[in-house]
Amino acid sequence: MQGILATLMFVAPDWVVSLTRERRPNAFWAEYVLWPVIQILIVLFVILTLVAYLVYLERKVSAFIQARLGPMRVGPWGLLQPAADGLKLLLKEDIIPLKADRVVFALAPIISVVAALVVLAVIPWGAAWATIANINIGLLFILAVSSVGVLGLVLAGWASNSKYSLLGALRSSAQMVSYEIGLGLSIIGALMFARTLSMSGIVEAQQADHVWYVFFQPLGFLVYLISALGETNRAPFDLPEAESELVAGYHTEYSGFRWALFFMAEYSSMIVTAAIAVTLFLGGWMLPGVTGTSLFGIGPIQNSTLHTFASVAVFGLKVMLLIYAYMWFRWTWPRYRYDQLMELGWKWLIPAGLANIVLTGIFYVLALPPARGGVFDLMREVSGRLVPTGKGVGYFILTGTAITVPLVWLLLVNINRRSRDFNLHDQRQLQVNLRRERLEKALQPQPSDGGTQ
Amino acid sequence: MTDETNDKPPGDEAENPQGKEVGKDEERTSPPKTSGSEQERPSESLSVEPGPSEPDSKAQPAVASSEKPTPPKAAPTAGSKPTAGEKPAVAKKGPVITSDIAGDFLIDRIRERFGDAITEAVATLGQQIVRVKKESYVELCHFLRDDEEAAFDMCTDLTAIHWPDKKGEEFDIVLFLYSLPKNRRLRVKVAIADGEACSTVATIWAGANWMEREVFDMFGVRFEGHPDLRRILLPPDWPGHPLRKEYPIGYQDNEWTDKHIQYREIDYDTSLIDVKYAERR
Amino acid sequence: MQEQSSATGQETLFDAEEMVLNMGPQHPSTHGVLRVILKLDGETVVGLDCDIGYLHRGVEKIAESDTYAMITPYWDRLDYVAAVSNDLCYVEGVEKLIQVEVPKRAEYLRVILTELQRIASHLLWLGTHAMDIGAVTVLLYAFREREEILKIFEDFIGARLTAHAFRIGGLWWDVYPEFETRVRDFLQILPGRIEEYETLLNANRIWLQRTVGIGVLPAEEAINLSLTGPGLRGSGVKYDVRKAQPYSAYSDFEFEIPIGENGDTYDRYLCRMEEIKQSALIIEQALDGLPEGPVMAKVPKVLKPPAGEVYHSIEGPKGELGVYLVSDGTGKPYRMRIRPPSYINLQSLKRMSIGHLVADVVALIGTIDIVLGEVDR
Repeated sequence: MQGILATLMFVAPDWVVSLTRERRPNAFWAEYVLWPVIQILIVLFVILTLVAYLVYLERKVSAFIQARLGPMRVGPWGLLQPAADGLKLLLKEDIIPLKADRVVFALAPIISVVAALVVLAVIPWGAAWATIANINIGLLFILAVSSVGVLGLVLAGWASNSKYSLLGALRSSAQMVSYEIGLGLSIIGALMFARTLSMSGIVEAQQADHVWYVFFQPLGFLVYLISALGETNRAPFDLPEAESELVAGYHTEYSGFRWALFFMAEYSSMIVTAAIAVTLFLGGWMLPGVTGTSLFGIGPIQNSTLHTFASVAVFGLKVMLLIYAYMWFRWTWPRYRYDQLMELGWKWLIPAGLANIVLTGIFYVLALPPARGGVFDLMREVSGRLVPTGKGVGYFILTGTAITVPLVWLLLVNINRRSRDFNLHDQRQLQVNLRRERLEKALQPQPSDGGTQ
Repeated sequence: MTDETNDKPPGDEAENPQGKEVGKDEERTSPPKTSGSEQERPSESLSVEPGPSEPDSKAQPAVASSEKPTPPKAAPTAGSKPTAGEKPAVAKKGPVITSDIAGDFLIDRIRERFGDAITEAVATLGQQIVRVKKESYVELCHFLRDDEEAAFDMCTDLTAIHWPDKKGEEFDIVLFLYSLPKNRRLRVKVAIADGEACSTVATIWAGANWMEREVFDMFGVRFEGHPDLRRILLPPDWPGHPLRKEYPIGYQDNEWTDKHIQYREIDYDTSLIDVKYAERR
Repeated sequence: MQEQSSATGQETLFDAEEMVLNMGPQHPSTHGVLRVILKLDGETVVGLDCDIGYLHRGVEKIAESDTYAMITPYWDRLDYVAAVSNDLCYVEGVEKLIQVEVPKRAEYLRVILTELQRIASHLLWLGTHAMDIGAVTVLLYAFREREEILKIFEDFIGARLTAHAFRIGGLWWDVYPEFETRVRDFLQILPGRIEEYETLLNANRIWLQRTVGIGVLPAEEAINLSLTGPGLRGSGVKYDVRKAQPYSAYSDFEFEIPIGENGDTYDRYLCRMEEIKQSALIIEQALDGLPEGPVMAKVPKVLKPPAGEVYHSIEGPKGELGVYLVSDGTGKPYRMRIRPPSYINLQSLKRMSIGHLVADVVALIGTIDIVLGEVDR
C-alpha cells in the first residue's frame, strides 16, 4: 500500500504538511491521502460544475451564432439554467425498458462517466501542486482510460434491448475507436520533442524549449483537433447522435439522470481532449512572461501559491478557448455521413499522422549533434534532455511548416474527388453562360398553334 | 385557322365607356392563351347545357346599352372593367365557347392515324381536348409520346370525373399532356363504365403511376397493367371511394373507424391509480 | 414490384439479409407526416415506399359542395408554406373560366406578392434542408429573413402563414402606403443575407460531399417522372411555366431561369438560390412599373361560371401547380382537381434514393422539397 501510494508522486505544499506535522499524525497520511482527497474533491467539484456550465455555454454560444439569445429566464442571463436542468433531471421518472438488462442498463452510464472523470487526475491544471497525480506515463494513462468509455457506450446500446439503439451504439463506438488511433498517432510528434509521457513533464519541456509545440507540429495539432472532434462525437462527426438520423443512438432509452450522466461523460471528455491539446501543443499552463518567480518582469515573487493559481487560470483560459472553437465548429458546419466520416478517419487522418511521425523523426535525427549521429547539430543537452538551440527552434518551425503544407494540400484536394475538377467560380460562370444561351433561344418565338393555354 | 367573326353581339364584351382602357387591356391580354380556333358557335360537346343561357340574357341588355364596337380579335379576352359609378357589369359574359378543331396540324395527324377512335376533338378557352375510345387509348398515348410531331413527353396530370347520369360511361379519365419541345398541351379523355378497368399509361409515362393510384383510390377505377395498384391516400382497408358522387361528405360512422379506434375508460371517482382499460371490438 | 409495408420477422438482428426500416410519420426530417419504408442492405437503400395520406383532408370533395369563393382559403392550406402562390393558381383558373380581366395594378401586385412568397418558401426549404444535413444555423438565419416577409404579409393580408391574399377578380384591398417602402427595404437587405448563406454552404467541403452526386436524375427520366419545378430545372431541363406559358403579368418582366447541369442535389440547391435572386429582380421591376388603378374587377357576388372546363397552371415554388375546374353552370364546381407538384415530385424519391445510403434519404427528401399539405390535400 505504501509502495503504491509512494509511486503517485506529487508534492503537497509545505503548509499542508506543516499543518499536520504539528499535530503529529503520520506525515505520510497527510501527504499521500488527505491532501490528494482534498485535491480530488476540488477538481471534481470544479469540473462537474464546469460541465454543467459548459452546457449553458453551448446554448448561449449557439444562440448568439444563430442571432438569438439563448436561456434568459432562469436567473440573470439564464445563469441558473444548469441548476434548473440538473434538478429536473434528478426528479424525473426512472424509466427502464421492459426487457432491458437492468444491471447493465444501470451500469453503462456509470462506466462512461467514471472513465471520463478518472482521467482528470493526471491533467496538469497548473504548476506545482495543481496536478493531482503527476505520473510519468500520464499521457498513456489518459489514452488507455478514456478508451474504457467506449465500453459504456456499447453496453448502453446492448442493454436497451432495441435494434436501433444497438446499431447506433455500434456505429458510435466504431467511430470513437477509429479516431482514437488518429489521436494517438498525432501526439507522437510532439512527444518526440518532450521526450516524456508525463503531462507535467511535457509542459515543463515546452517551458525549457521556450516554444509551444504547436509551432513545431502544426500538422500534429490539426490532426489531433480533428481526431478529438471525432473521438467525442462532436461537430461534423455527430451523425450517431444527430436528431435527424434514423438510427437513434445509444442513449435513446435513457432518461433522467442516467442520460445526464452520458451527457456529462461527453462534455468531460471534451474538456479532457481540449486539456490534452493545450498541454501538448499550446504550452499547458505556461505563459510567456509568467514564471515561478516573476510575473511579466515584476518580481521576484515568492508566493508560489499565487503562481499556481495564475497558472491554473491560464490553463483554464486556454482550454475554454479550445472548447469555444469546438462549439463554433458544431454550429457552423453540416455533418458528415457515416461512410465519409470513417473514410476521413482511416484514409486521411491515420496516414497523415504516420507521415507526420516519420517526417518529424527524420528532421529530428538530422538536427542531432554529430556525436549522436545527427548532421546539423542544432540541439544541446541540458539536464538529460535534448533542447534545441535558438537556430534549432527556427529549424523545427520551418520543418513543421514544410511537413504540414503539402500534406494538407493533398488532403484538401483529394478528399472530395470532384473538387479537383470542381472549381466553383468556373462552374458558376459556365452555368451563367449556358443559361444566357438557353434564354436567348427561348425568347425566339415558339411554334404554338392552338394547343397552348 | 378559323376566322373569327362573331355573329352574336359580343356576349363577353366589356361595356366600357373609356375606349382606350379597353384597347390597352386587349393588347395586353391577347397572349397566346386564347389565340386560335374558338368563338364560332357553341358546340354540344359538353353535356351540361342549361346553365349559361340565363345569365346570358341578363348580359344582353346591359351590353346593348353601351355599344362599343371592338375589334373582333378582342372578343374572347375582354373582361369588365370596374369603372367609377357605372352600373355593375356582369363579369361572366357568355357561355364557354367550345368548337371543333379544324385545320390544326397535330389534330389532323391524330385523326388520320386513328380515324373513328377519336370521337371528338374540341377546343375550349384555348385548350384542346381529344376524346378517344377506350380500345385505342393506349395506342394513342404511345403515339402521342413517340411521334416527333406530337412529342408529348410529360404527363402533367391524370384524373377522373364521375358522371353518375351517363350510364355506361360514368367515368371520364382525363389525361393532361405537355410537350416540352413543342410547348403545347393536350387533354385526352376516355370514357369508362362503372366496373370496367381502364388501361394504364404508367408504363408510358412513369409519372402517371401515383396519379392512377389516386384515381383508383378516390373513384374505384381499376387500371389494367398498373405495376402497383393500391390505395395511396386512404388506409388500405378503407371501404368506398370518396370522390364518387354518391359518397356523402358529412360525418359518417364507418366500420373503419370503429375497427381501428381504441377506447379507454378512466374512472374519475376513485383515486388516480385506478384506471380501467376497455377496448371496443 | 410491391414493397412490403410491414417489418419482416427476423430471428436475430443479423439473420435477415435485408432490413426493413420505418422512417415513421413522426420524424424530425420528413417535413410533416410522411412515412417512408426503407428496405436496407446494410446501409444501402435497395427499396423504398412512401406511405402518405396522413394529412388527407378531402379538399377536392369539399370543393364540390362549396361555392367558388369559399374554396379559395382551402388552397392556402395545401402548400401551407407558400400560401399566396397557391391562391394565385386557383383564382386565375376561375378567372379564366369566367373570362374576366383582372386590372393591371392587381396583376402587378399579385406578381409582387407571389414572388415574395416564392422567396419565403425557398428560404424555408433552405433552412430545413440545411438543418437535415447538419448545418443548423442556416435554419435560424433563413427564418430571420422569412420573418420579414411574413410581417409584410401580415400587415397587408392579415395572416402570416395561410394568407388568403387574392380574390376572384383581383385583390380585395389595395396595399397600404408603406408597403412599397417595406418591400424595397427588404430587397435591400436580401442580397447580403443570401451571400451569407452562400458563404456558409456553397464551397463548404462537407456540404459538397453531402450533396454533390447525390440523387442524380437525368433529364429524360425527370421528364418521364413528371417532375417539375426546381427539381426538373436542376436536371438541365428548361421548363418554367412563367416563361413557357406566361400568366398574370410575367411577360412584362425580364428574368432568367436557372438551369442546372448534373441533376444532383447540389444543382437543385444552386437553382433555388438563384431563383431567390431572380425573384428579387422581378419584384423590383414590378415595383418600379406599378400602375395606378383599381385592384378588383367586377365579379358578381354569386358567381356562376358558365358550363365548361379549364386547366390553368402556374409555376409555384415547388413545381407546376395546376387547377382543373369542371363547371356545370351552378355556383359550385362539378369537379375541382388540384395538380399537386409535391405529390407528383415525391414519386421520384424512390428512383433517386435506390443505391444511396440511409443518411442520403434525408437529404433527398429535403431536395425534392415537399410539403405534406400538398401531397395529401
